[in-house]
Amino acid sequence: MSEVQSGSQYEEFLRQFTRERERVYAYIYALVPHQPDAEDIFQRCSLVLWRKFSDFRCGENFLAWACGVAHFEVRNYLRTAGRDRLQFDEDLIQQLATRRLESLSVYEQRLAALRACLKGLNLEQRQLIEVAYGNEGTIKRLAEATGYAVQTLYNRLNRLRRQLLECVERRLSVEES
Amino acid sequence: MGASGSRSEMTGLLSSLWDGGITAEQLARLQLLLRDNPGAQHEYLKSLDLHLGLKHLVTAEVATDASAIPGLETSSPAATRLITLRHRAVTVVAATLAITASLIAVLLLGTPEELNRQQEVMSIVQSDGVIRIRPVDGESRTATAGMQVFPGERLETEGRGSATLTFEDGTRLTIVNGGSLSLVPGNRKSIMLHRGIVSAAVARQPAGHPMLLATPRARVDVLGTRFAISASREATELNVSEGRVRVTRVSDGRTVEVRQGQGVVTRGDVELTVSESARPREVWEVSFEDGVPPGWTGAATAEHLPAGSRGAIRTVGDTTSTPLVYVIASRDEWVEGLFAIDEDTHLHITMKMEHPDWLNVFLSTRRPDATDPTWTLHNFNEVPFWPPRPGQWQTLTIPLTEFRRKRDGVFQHEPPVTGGVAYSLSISATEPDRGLVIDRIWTTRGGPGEVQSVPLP
Repeated sequence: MSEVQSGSQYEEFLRQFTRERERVYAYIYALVPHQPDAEDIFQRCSLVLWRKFSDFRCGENFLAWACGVAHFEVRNYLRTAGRDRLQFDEDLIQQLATRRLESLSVYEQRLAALRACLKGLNLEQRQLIEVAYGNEGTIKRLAEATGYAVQTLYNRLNRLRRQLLECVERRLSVEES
Repeated sequence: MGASGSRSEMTGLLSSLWDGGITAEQLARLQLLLRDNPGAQHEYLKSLDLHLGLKHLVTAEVATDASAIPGLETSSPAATRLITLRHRAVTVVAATLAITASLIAVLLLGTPEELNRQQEVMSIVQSDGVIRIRPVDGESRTATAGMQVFPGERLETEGRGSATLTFEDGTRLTIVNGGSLSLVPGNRKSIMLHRGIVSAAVARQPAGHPMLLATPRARVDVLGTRFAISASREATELNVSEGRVRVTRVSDGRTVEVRQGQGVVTRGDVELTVSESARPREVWEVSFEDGVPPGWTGAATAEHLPAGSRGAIRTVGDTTSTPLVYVIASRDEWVEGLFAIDEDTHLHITMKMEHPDWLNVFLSTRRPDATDPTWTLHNFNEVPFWPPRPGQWQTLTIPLTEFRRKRDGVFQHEPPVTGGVAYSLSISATEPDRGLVIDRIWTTRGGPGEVQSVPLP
């Protein structure tokens, strides 16, 4: 392991890491679907990736290499984490790890399709999405402000997610055909 | 219920998972459904991508701001911290800001029934530098005078850009210094100031229908007045020069009325107190003893400091600049100002560089009246006895009369005007990183009257 790497290595790392960091995070989140844990692992993983970057061979697939490191970090993290945590077992994590790497190849397309699908929402729907994805607690505040029941808003949110998921699938299938 | 489960069961479990309310029993059930089931795993991953995608798109704006946070540098503890900052900016901080923004949106928008009535439009009547308009869900476009900003759109000024916008009733807003605001859809004049400084001259509004201006920290109701407002993630500062406004702090709903000649600062849970707008301080000092002050750009360091010092600040790379610029910068203190400019004001910087070379010292100034949006950028980069020895602590003293003013793209010898107010300071150099560390910055009335660079013992 090289502790202090050259400037050109740093630039190359930054270039590759910047391009793939969202997908590395998405990989970790699939194995550990709990935001604070996924963030912790991502932070540890980022540092390990930089430290091990001298092992990375030019021409190799950076994402595959980074996900390999991330998978190891996930296992490492869960081994040392408390047993009371809500987490998948090791067998399922192994299965998801393989499938996740495949699905990441269309991650950007899915994001682009979602962006397009959001255009189809009306203002009220957008507001609900913004509140829900800013912090789940604000759904309650939104309910107070609008006079709707909290459960009503959650039901709407679930319908919206289903609607968006169908829209994304429709768009992707059109692109494929 | 078997391990295959129904689609609606799976959807329900995933909703609980993404909303953070899943129980141990539900997780066990989800695990059972996913194990050895490629179809269910596929559904799970699609649902996850929707969840992450929505989070990404909702917080994308803030994440863009966070790109100014420097990249990885070494495998030192500092690098760990930078990684933490970088990532948190995209997730935790971004999400936190989104909460606030959403809350403000609720406050501003009112009930859904109030939406989609008469929509206000803003016209750009003057612009300087790079201005962009970004629709809610489309590609941004470069903006110039004569263009309009429609409800839901966001106007951004990059770097030192500025823009003046008007409403049909004559209300005039000027936004400066890397600011960002949105025209909120609704049945009244509503502005969301995401960040930056706005100087406003608001025409008298219909009774019972004040103009609303929201920031991440406050909501301002305006019936007709002139005021300046500065918004950042940490605080909102407001000064009124004519009329009065009502300011509500978002965090607790506390409201105060701010009248002509008064100002207020909303910052976290600090007491919300209206005070008379005082003249900015004559002298100013920041020593970084307790780390990097809120809103500053730079990284804290405690290594190899001058005797008696506990902390200093070092440059960080501004990845939004091409070429890369390494910078230490104060936050914009438009309303309060950093310090008043007198004819004998001197700026002192105790600093060192590992790889000495030329540096730029930029000072942004405004006129005495904070509601006057005119601002000026001054620069100093002529240092005698240069370069210093690598790693040598020294105090650089610069009379403000030695600064030059940027006019028509070039710097001319035109020092800051006496009576003005300095509101922002930055010290920077293009790559490679010079390893600049600053232990203390301060101003004095009086001084040698010439540039000096004095090594510390």
